[in-house]
Order: sequence, then C-alpha cells, then structure tokens
Amino acid sequence: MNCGESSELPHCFLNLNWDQSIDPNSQLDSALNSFVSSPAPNRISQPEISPQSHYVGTNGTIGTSTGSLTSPPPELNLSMGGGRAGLMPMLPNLVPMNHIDQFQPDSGFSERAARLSCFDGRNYPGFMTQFDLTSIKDQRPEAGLLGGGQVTQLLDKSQLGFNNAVNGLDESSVSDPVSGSGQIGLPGPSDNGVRKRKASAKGKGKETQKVSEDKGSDTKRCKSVESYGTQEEGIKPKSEPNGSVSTGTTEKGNGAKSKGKDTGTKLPEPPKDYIHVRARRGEATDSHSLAERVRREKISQRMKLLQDLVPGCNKVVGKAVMLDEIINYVQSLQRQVEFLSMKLATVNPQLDFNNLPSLLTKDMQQACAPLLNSSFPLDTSGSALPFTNSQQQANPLHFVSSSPSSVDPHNTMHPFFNAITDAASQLGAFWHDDLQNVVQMDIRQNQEEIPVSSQAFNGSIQQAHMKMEL
Amino acid sequence: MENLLSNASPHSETLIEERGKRIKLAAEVGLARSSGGRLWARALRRRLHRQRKLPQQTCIAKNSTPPLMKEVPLVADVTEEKEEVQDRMRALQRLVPGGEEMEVERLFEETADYIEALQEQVGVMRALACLLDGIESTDGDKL
Repeated sequence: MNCGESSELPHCFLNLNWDQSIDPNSQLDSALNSFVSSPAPNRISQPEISPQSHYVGTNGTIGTSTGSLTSPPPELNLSMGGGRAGLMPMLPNLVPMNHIDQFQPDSGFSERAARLSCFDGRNYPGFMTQFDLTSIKDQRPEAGLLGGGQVTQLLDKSQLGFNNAVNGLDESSVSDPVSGSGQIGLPGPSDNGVRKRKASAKGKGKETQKVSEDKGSDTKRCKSVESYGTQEEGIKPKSEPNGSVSTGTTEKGNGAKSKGKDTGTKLPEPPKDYIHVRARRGEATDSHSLAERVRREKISQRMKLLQDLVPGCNKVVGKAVMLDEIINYVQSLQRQVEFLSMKLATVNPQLDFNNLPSLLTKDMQQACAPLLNSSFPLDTSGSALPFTNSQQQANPLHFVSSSPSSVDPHNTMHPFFNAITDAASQLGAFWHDDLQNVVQMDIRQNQEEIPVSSQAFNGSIQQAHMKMEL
Repeated sequence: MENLLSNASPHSETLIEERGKRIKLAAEVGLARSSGGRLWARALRRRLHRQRKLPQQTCIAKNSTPPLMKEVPLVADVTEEKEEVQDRMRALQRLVPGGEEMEVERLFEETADYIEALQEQVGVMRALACLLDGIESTDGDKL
C-alpha cells in the first residue's frame, strides 16, 4: 500500500520541513535528527510538479532520513506537505504542498514548529485530526481511504516521535496505530517504536475514533491527492476548504479539550494555541481522564495559592484539613470586619468626624486620605460619629471598658497608635494590599509588643464578638 | 445626627448596633467596590443592590449561570474522604459571596482574592479604629 510505504515519507518530509525551520529550536532539532539523518532545508524549496520526483529529490537529498524510507507515494508527500499546513492550525491559510518554498525558514514557521513540538502526545490525536483533514486534499482517493487512518497513524508517529523527543512522552495519548494495526511497518527508530507501544494502549481508542471519523473526509483528501500532480493551482483553494472542514471537525472536540490543554506547561506554549489546536473528537476515556488530570493540577495550583494566603496552612497536609483552615480563616476575617465595624460604631460619638481632617496632622491626613477614600466610605460612618450626646458618650466608653477583653487592646492600642502617628508619613505609602502586614511591620519597628497587641486584639475580637452576640 | 437618631430603631436594636450595622454595610460596599473585576465582588454588589443598600446603580450583568454546587464528579470516585471535601467546598461556597455559582477552580480563585480583600479591609478598619481611639483618648493632643 502506498500509504503504508509512504509512512516514512511523512516522517522524513515532516522532519525535513521541521528541520529547516526549527533551527532555532534545538529540541526539535534533536527530535528531528532522530528521524531524519540529514535534512536539507533548501532541497524542499522547489515546488514539485510531480510529487514523486519531489519526494525523490527530497529523499535523495535527505539521504533516506530513516532507514525505512522508501519511495513514498506522492500523495503522502503531498499530504505531509498539506499536513504541514495542517500542522499549523493556527495559520488560517494553509500552505499548499506545492508551495514548498514557503516552507523555507520563516519566522513564523519556526514559531509554528516550536508550537508543534510542544504538542505532547495528548494533543496529538487532535493534532492528527488537523493533519488528516487539512492537509491532504491532494491525496489520491485510494490513498486517502486507506491513508486516512494510516496517514493519521503515520502522522501520529512522526508527531509522536517529535513529542517524544521534546516531551519525553510521559503520558502521551498518541495512539500507536502502527503497532496496533500492523498496517504500517514503520521501521522508525527503535526508541520511537517503544514509545509508541507505550502509548498504543492509551491512544488506541482515540485513534480508531479518529480514523473512523476521518473516513468521511477521506474522499476529499483522496481527490486532492489525485489532483496534486496535475493541478498545483487548485491546491491552495482546495486546502482552504479542507482546512475549514478540518477546523470545523476538530472544533467539535475543542470544547472537550480546550480546557484540558495545559499539558503544554512543560514547554513554553501559550495556552491559547492549545485551545485552538487541541481539537479532540469524542470523549474517549483518555481525553476525559487527561482533562480530569489537568483540572486537578489546576485545582492543586489554586490550593497552593490559598495555602500561601492563609497563615498556618503550610503545616497541614490534606485537602479537607486545609479547606477547613481556609474556611476558618475566611470566617475569622468576616468576624473581624464585623467586630471592627461595631468598634468603630462605639468610637466616641462626640468626635465630630467632619472635623477629623483638621484634627489630623498633615502626615496623618495623607495617610488617612487613601484609607478613607479607597475602601472605607466614611459618609455613612461619618454620620454615625458626630453623634454628640453625653449619655451616648458614656455608653461607648462603658461599652469599651466594660468588656475586659477590649480593655487590653485598648491599652495596647496606644503603642499601636503611637506607632501609627510616628510612621504616619510612611503609612501613606503603605496602604496597599498588605496593609495589615505592613502596619504590623511598621509597628514592629517602633514597638515590641505589636505581635502581642495584634494577637490580643485578635483574641479580643473573638471575645468581644461573643460579648456582642450576647 | 438627627438622621442618625431618626434612622435608629430603638425597639429592636441599640443605637450602637445600628451604627455598627451601617458601618459594616459601608465596609461591605467599600469592599465590593474595591475589587470590581472579581466575581465575588460582583455578587456582593448584586446582593447589596438587591437590598437597596448600594447607593449607586452599578452595571451588573446578572449572572445567568445556574448554580453549580460542587458537582459530585469532582473526583472520579466519591469516597468518604471526598465527601468531607465536598462538604467543605459547599461551606466555602456559602462563605464567599457568589460562591454558589462557581465551580471548584473558580471558587479557589475567588476565595484567594476575597481573602486578600478581607485582609485589607480588616487592616484599614483596624487602623481607623485605632486612630479614632487615639483621637478619642488623647483628645487629639497627640495629633
């Protein structure tokens, strides 16, 4: 089967193309070298009228990249070229096969190559879909029919080898259709085969799905293959509709996989590319579990973030306990806000809040201005304060002094307040997210009992809160 | 002052409590406005708006997402341990404003941001309380 034979062609061709543009990417180079002995970038430059000759030319120049390389059928060559175009799903205009010269190193190509290399095995099937659908309008029908799956497999292999070299193929979901189906005896590098076998079990399901789905578009591909030798002009227009078809089909799985494509975290890959490319069809178990895993990773990431926020969470290990801590912390913060609001309500109402600015020093004013304006609208609180009533004045004082817990903070607040006044000018710059910590830090500079006071305050908050509830 | 007196409901609550509630409300409003972009802030503003406490109309697109209580398929197998985690997730959902409509990842994100905002709020209020305490106790001499 020419498709079977051409299995190597995509390999070498693909690698070849990659090589020429991947120079900046050392990883890809190493990956490619595993497949292609000596790719010659310039050799592909000539647009080939006859795919076969093209292939030969490239093959000859390449010097039989892989030992198994035979004379690949032109369609596969084309397909690879088209596949190349499909390689970059991000590229709206697929590069037709005959425009091989466009494959010359270009800035965008290396970028695409880098992206492609970043695709790990998981994304490969989706990627493969791109390959199958987009590339190959030029393929012959029979080649397309058979190669629908085989090319997929081939591309899988090449991609797999790619990814292997780059990613080490940890949990590559790339199916190993070759080994599984046995159709294509791709005598690729031994390690490649080994890797593929590992992935075969995983990717099998996906691959078969893809293959079956690809059959529909095979005819299209076949036609394109046939016309490759004859019509070069038609390639581009054909490729584009195919590209759109592929994107359409691949996008089916986009939703399923878009979220799960953080697998490229290993490599510097912008997430959006993954969302575009990782179109995966169907909900094969693999993709599901992969998405689950990615999701779990995200969740654990966020948990770590929360751990940093919540003090004392570093010691505990375990999701439930940590969640407990987080919940307690949020609750305590909310209670603090409540308590503080009550405390502010009990501030001496005799204080005419409208005159507060005049009471404050310039520094304090600067420090308090952002405080007052930003997150604490004082219009409502201000109205509460200028309540001048001797009786009321006594009450808050009593309220404050009656609760023994609040007496301590009241006393310790003096050093706190002193620190504030002393560092008033500096405080202005400190009203940031770390306000609390900063204030405590600032106080530490001046006072020694700050931790004690803050703790006492916190303790008093609980007690005062209980008191208030009573 | 007169407004305060008139607004006070002496029957049910003391004046101080009433004031405290208003202050707390002000704090919430400030909190909700400070982090406008976050989901929890939007949910908080919606709640305040519903209570007609939010003085200004804020353009809040009503979240049409259906409530996503922690889906059981959070993990493949729901063992007892996972049940505990689920319970805590639900508790956290209740704590964070707007949390009922968030899934796990989002919930964690919003929780982190909410915690930060709460910390900031507490710091501000605490400093303010101390400041005012200082003013009150020292009769403004220290200033």
